[in-house]
Amino acid sequence: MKGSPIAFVAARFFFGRKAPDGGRDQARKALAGAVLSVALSLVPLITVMQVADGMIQGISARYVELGTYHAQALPYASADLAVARDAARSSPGVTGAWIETQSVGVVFANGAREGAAVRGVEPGFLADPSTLAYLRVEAGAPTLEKPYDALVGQAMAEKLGVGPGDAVNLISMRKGSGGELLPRVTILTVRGVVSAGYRDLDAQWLFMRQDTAARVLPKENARSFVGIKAGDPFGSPFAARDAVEGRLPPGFSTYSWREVERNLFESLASTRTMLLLIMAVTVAVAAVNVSSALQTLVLERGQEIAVMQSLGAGPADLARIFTLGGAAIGGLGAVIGAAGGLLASVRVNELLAFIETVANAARSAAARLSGGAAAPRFRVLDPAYYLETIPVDVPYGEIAMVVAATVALSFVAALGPARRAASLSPLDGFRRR
Amino acid sequence: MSDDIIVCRGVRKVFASEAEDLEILRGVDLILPRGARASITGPSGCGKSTFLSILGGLDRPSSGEASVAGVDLVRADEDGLSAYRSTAVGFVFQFHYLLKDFTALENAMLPAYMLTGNRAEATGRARELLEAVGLGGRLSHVPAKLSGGERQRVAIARALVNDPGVVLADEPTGNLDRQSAQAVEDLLFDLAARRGTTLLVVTHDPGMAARADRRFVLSDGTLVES
Repeated sequence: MKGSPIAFVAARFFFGRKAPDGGRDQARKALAGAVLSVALSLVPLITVMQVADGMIQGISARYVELGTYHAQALPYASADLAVARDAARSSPGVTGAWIETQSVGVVFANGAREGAAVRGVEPGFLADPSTLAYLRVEAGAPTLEKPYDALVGQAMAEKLGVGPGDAVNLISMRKGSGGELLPRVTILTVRGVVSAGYRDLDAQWLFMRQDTAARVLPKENARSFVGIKAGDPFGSPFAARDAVEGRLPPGFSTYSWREVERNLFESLASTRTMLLLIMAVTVAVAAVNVSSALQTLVLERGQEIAVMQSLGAGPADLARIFTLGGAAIGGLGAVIGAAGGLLASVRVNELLAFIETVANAARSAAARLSGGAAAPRFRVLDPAYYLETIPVDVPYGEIAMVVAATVALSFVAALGPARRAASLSPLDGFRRR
Repeated sequence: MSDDIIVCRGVRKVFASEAEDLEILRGVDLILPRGARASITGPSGCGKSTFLSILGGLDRPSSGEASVAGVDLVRADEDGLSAYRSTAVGFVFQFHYLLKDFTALENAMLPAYMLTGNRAEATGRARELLEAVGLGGRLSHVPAKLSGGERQRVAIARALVNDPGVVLADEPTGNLDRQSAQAVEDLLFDLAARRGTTLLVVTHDPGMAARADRRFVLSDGTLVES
């Protein structure tokens, strides 16, 4: 039998008309259930895929644009950072290069203290558009004009109770000649409160001028490097590293952000993979539903299969009708599920806000009815650990692959029933009334 | 080339069971020329339908020779039998066996569409036949919306749509009232005669059996011409 009559018969067989009484037979109900189960299994899969991608992209982007840079040139000898920076800036494709000095310390203010990741940056870094794209200014200005100006992360500012114009004490430790720890206090003036939109970063960061940091921070506890930016760090993760390859003076090793943040990136990617695997199990279960629905169809429509055989349909034709039908059921479910998943994905922030609103209203009502204290606000994704809003960046290519894989899985699930239909004796089929 | 379209010699059919083997057909011989109209009568359970199933390529004999339209039904493989059912033979059963999700036109055109893959051509042939059996105005009706006689007429159109050399009819009027039965019987014999199709009818109805040129009785597993 040729392809078009097979498709025609499969379409009628699987998606045919309602019975005259308006109802559907058991097999059709099972098929509709199979379509629904495939669709429902894909909604969370695609939503998780998008949310995970958005979170990874969002977190990675903040790390890369605000912390790691696209690449870092690390000196392994007493190399001249300024020369390396200038060489990097003149490399083709490089959009910016700055010296940064990092260390750790403790910040005191208003009787409170907080551990800080101290970042001595050059003013140009804070003015760079790609930095400003992710660095939100909550108060003051993101500038470090005077030697002892500082910017603090929003979470740290909240904990210390400081704002623009306030003084903070930065205590760093250095070793004395006898090995004893000697504190050094540097008084800084807060010029701005900034946020990356990611509490993990906001709670640690204290920005100060690089030249001041190089002077006041203990050398044995500080590291300096040249941060480089070039092009799209996600489309071409190694572009910045490759751009300065062979152009820096001797004594530097250059690493892309993927190498510097390998642990973070692999941890996020592993979490995503694990989540998707768990979700994929539900798709596999849905494929089993497809198989059992087709088995029901074969059992219920044995007589019609026998009729098809009497009209000349061979075993291979019947097998093709059922595998095509199985793939069509999977495809229909996948398209519906993908549409639902896409809708949930692009509206994920509104969806989470709605869930939070409903949950908090219910908790408040429960607290009022029980006479207890009001429950603290419930957050689906606590911004202390996640981004405040999930970036929406729909992975269309991956969704297409998921749809294709679901169709393939449904095709495989249909092989068993198809084999059964193909091996059915026509006389046995005619006896089924 | 022989003019005999059905050639059966010593056809035996034994149904094996744990208790005992049941020999339904005990060496049936039947030779029919092209264009013949024959009937087989006999008591219930004597093996008429089993013999027809063997001739239709739906079942195989336990032994003997069976050849229809030049196709060796004993040695043909499954694909060969499928091709045979598609091109050489048409069935009309006691129950219409129309596919419930297909309209009258779709049911009638399906064998041709399956054979050629050309929907327009298949639809044209089916439409012509349905008009010939008086169902030109019921083309888009599904079986549930047709009367018993109309369903059987669709089944006749379906059996003839590929212009097979042989039509096998198993109690084609057994489920119909007298008026519808007469109409279907007339149609079957008239169309077969007009198209030169060999018609072999299994029936309990003496009147229908009598319309055949050749009349056979199957009894005790053997076929005797009366």
